[in-house]
Amino acid sequence: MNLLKQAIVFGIATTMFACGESPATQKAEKHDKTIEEVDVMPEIDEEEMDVVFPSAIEIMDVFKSAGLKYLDDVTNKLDRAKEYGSTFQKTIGVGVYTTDLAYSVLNNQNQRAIDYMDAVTSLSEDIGIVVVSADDNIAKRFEESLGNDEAVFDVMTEIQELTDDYLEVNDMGQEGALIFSGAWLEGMYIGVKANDDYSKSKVSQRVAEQMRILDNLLKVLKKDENQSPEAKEYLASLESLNSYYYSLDEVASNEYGFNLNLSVEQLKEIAGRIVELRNSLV
Amino acid sequence: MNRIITLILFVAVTTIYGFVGKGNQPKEFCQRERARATAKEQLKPFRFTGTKARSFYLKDFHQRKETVIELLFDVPYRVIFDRSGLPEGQDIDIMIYDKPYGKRNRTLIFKDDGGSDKIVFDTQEMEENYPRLFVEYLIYPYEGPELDASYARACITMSHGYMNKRLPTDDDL
Repeated sequence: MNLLKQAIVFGIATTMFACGESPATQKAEKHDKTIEEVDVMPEIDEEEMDVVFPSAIEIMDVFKSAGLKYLDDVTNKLDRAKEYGSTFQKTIGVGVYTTDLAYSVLNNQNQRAIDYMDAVTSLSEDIGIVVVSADDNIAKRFEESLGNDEAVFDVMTEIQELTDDYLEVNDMGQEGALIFSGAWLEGMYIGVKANDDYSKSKVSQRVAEQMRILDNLLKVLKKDENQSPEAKEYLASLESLNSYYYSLDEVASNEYGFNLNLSVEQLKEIAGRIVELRNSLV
Repeated sequence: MNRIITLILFVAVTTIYGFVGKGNQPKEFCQRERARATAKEQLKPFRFTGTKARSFYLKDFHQRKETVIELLFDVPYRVIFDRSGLPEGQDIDIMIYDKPYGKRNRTLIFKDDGGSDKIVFDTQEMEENYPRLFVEYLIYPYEGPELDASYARACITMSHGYMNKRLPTDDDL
């Protein structure tokens, strides 16, 4: 019986000890804090920069309002998904297909939307992001909502949110940035390709304005110190595109980048670089 | 013999639980899901696009955090900040600038240093269009009882939505 009592007392005592730090430890830490962490107004560490980028559906929705047409053959071919071998290719592929999905949804291409959703789901799982298949109900609701703008937007936003949460919980912020870069690039590509004359139309204007996003996107992408050679090459291409954009006098002298008065030649040059970069990726 | 083995197991389990279990979990004040659910309603007729929680550990000194929102041109946005994920006694000022922290000549677009849980900001209220907004949180020192806990975490949430059509301005009316 004594043994039983001793064991219980020991168990409770060790549990209590472990739950809270000893007063001596607490005191020492508090003391250190007052020495090291003097109450001055703190700086912001750029490494901690947190950026909210527009979603793929938001970008495509705005393009559509600017008059973007629907072209059947402008999106990435579905069978290419099987050819993506590396994690980098698959991650970019998730972003590219997400934009293709948004473009199909916005243009009531329901079967295509379902096929792109399957491609996004499959590639996401390959890189360890299990969201849609974790809940059969979401895929079902997505299919049922097609044709109803508000309902389909709600389901797509929910998937986006679940994905964001998953990336955050699993410390996959860099993968999230790469996915967004693929989505952004595909959006720009469709904006260029489905706007046949590259003229100074509203779509061209939107493409030129959305180039501004690239600057912050690059800052986030560059945080990853362990990039694969493929990712490094991709970043160098994005850097080159960004440098070209900011080398234009009209861009450099326009503080916020609105109502840019770019020439048709400059718009064509931007468009050509986007097309080249996107095609080299997919 | 069986009794001794049971006792040893009991001691081992309670000891291990004490070291790696509940005792090392941060106390969490953040209520992201609740903030998200209420913001979705408040954002209407704007299209909800997401909720970003800026988490931080309670400290007895000032902290400063920054979140950048990339905007699409000519699109009206609504942003809802929610302070309900803060313990009592934790104050946070919310400022929105046109440029990042540390840049000269940046313009203060919006500031809220009140105590309301919910703050609504519409980009339509801005006098100028900006391609991105720099949201700065100034987190005041916390001196409440939670500082005595091994560590406690809180957050401020920011939900956002957009409207894909230009809203009428005063000039239109």
